[in-house]
Amino acid sequence: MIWPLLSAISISLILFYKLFPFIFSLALSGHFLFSAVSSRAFEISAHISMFWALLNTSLLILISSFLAWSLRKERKLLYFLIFIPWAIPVYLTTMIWRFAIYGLNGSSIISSLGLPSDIVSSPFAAFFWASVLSIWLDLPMVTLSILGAIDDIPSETIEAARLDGASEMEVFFDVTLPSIRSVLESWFLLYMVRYAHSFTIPFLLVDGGVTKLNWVTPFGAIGNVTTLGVLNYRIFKEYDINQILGFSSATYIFLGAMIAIWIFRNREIFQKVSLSIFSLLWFAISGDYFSIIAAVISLLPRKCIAVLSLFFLLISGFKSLPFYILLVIWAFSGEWRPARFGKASKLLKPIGALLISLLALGSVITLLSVLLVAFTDYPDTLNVTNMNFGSLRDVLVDGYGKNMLNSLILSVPVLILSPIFALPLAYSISRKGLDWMLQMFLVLRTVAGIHILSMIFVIYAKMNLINSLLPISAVVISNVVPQVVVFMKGYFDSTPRELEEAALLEGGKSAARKIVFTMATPQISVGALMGFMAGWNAFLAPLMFLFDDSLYPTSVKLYSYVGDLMNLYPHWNLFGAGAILNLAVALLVFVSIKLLTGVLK
Amino acid sequence: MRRILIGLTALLTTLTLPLTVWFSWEGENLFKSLVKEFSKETGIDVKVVYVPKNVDEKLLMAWKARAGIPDAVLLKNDEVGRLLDILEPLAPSKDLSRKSISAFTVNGKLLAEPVYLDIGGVFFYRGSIPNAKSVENLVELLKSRKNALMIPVYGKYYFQVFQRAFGQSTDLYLKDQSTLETLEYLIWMKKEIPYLPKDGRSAIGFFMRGTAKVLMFGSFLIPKFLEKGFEFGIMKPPFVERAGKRISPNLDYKGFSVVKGRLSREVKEFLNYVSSKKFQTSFCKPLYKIPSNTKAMATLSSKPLFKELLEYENYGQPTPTNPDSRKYYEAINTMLRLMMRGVEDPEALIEAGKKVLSGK
Repeated sequence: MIWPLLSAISISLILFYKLFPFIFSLALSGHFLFSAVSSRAFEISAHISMFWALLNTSLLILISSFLAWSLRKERKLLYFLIFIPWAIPVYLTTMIWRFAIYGLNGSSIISSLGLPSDIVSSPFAAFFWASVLSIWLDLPMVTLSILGAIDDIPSETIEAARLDGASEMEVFFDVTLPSIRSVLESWFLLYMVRYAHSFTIPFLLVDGGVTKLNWVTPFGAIGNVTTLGVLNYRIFKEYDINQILGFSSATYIFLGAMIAIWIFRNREIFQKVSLSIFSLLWFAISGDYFSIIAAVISLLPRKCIAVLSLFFLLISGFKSLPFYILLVIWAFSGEWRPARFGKASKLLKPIGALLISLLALGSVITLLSVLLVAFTDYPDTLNVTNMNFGSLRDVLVDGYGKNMLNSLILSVPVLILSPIFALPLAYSISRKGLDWMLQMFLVLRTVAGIHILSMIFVIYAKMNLINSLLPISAVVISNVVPQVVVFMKGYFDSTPRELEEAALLEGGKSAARKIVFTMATPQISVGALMGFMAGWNAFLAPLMFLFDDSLYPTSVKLYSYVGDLMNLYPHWNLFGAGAILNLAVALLVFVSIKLLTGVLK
Repeated sequence: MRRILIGLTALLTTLTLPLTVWFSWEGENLFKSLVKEFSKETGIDVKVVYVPKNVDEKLLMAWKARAGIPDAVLLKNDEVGRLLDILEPLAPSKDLSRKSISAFTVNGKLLAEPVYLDIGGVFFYRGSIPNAKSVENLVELLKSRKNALMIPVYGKYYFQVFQRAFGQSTDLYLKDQSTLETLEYLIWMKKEIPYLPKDGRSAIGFFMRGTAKVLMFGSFLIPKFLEKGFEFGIMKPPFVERAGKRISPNLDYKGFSVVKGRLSREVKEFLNYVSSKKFQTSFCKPLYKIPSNTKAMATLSSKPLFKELLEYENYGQPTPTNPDSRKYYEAINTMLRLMMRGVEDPEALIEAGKKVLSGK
């Protein structure tokens, strides 16, 4: 009785936080939805988001595949390289990198390496570093997943290719990538959508990027990294509820359309029609007449699409977005043909070495920066010779302990409830073959972002739940449960049913449940830790839903020390000291996970 | 029965919730200790919540959400206009300076009890600056030494310091001669000094380390400078030769506002306390803030550094209290960020600013 009830609660929870706000918002936003869609701000931001998403996703998938392939036999080195970007929360790494890149008036660790560092006024530097950091932080997850997929390729296939005389690069491009194509496609979709509404890095690192004259709109100046996430946050901060709901609904629909196109990519008719509709929608948003041509081209046979898209992309000065999408869909929807690399094959090793060095450098810069800002006494100057522990004392005197306690209050319900909700749901999905449900949850989670949080804010405001920690825990639980379900489902898939059947015969349903529960104890513990980390590192929801300093968790407190890019007086030393304390907790949890994983083995 | 009722009433009286006061900016601990004294004297319990930044946004959020609304909140005068609809009009306490009252008055309503003011646009110096009476002199003297002159020309809050020297009134509009001339002046400065700071922190850092000889910034830095123990001075407000006038610093007033429906007897007593000579002298003296209470100001005027600050106060003007001031700052910010990026046509910059100003 309890298990179905818990499953029902977790499904309701996910739907309540990921789908209901959109329906609620759509019903209330009315003509504000249309004014948002037709605004110049939305048009520019959607354009930037798509370009940003396409570029970052393509690079991320390519680099991750390459890294997984190059280091598949050097796993310890791989784990070492991806440890820092994996272990440190994104909001923290981003602020650390802001110091590393921009430092003091552009005089920084990065500028001392002769690299562009002026993220305040150089559009290239702003876009470049936001992109580099995004890819670097997402590498661990994608690389590990691709590594898993590569492990599944039969070694005979690769050996056969080598015997046929294929070079290392040809084996990578012609054997490995086509063999893991379905994994790459899934990640491609996930990250396309995630990047299109990404917020933390574009906002915290470059404050939406650098603007230009014709990007100034009545909704403020749009910078070259003002993704839909950043735009929605600005609207949330500055405008009334109608505008907030209008923009967030428009964003939800836009992202939903992206997913629809992708899902239908292998059903030719649906794909053509949805691409055509998307191009026309794009014309309505941007007034880009090339989109009409794209709408027509998308209906033509596949073999015409690539040539015509490239041609019109050239004519449009590489500015018409639908052609990029047509090319991507074209690339993913047909057969992948073998390529010939010849002497270029020799480049594989130097490229690999360069990538590994850059990854290692990224970790060194992160650690060096956080140590420098944490143990430097001056709030505004970097004085290496005068390092001390004064900042650690100052941050504790400033009441950081209370912020840690708030983080704990926020995390503990997530720690307890995530596995309780996830376990019965994962079990049902595994045993009843309800994979579609899991996919739906993951899609809903992927579409969610700042825009959903804006909608939840309006709902919470009506329910008088703003400025309180527990309602934020509920948001975090709705985020983390699908992840924990994926993790636990994998375990149940690999567990023989016979054990439960035997228990069922012996002692009925309760005995069978008891067996399942007992066997899944390590998974429950890891699920609880995943929940704890999600709660401890929660940043966006507390940032938007709390306004009382005494309720801030560590994440928002750390942000309040340094503020945004143009903040006149950031306290880097307090930030650094707080970050060190936060990392100590993260390390503790990592060690716990490591120990539990040991139990799993 | 009567006794029970009396007993219950007495119990309820003792169970009165404390006043919630939001406090921001410098002096949190000092403020808390002074509030403790107030509680001891009056028996009114006060809970001080420190809100580190964007207090106006958070107040609006609390108001929209109808949750966690404070009784009184310390606001800047340029924030109250935006909050016109949610603040109680107040009656001014006695002995407050006229300038401070006008700084918080919107549409004839006083929206906060003035407490103190910070000055934006103070010229600090280290060592000696011979014959430097104008900004042009400073540029000429220091432009060849990297990071020696730190004028935050890209800081939106300092635009008006120059704009008023060129004759801008307190209205918020951009298409006028003073805006045009200010932009031309800043573009000139940008060309003359290639190392101009793009953010405040580096400017302060260079000054603290002694690299910068002159720093234009806010008076709130004085306690930090004193804490670091280095010698520094405050210049007389310099001239802008092109304008033929001195700079006109921003008078950044802070005062306690009361949220609609919260003006109780206890809140009134609290407001009386924070506008008193005793409170303002104790609070402003160590923090180098200029009190709004004229008697407190008279007490502090002879103290070191206060004399120089009062001269700045004399030439300065309050930051705009207009309900659209936020949009106005956003417009200025847009113009300055475009200028930083290399757009050096004042007309085009003004058009961009106007687009933001006329936004929804």
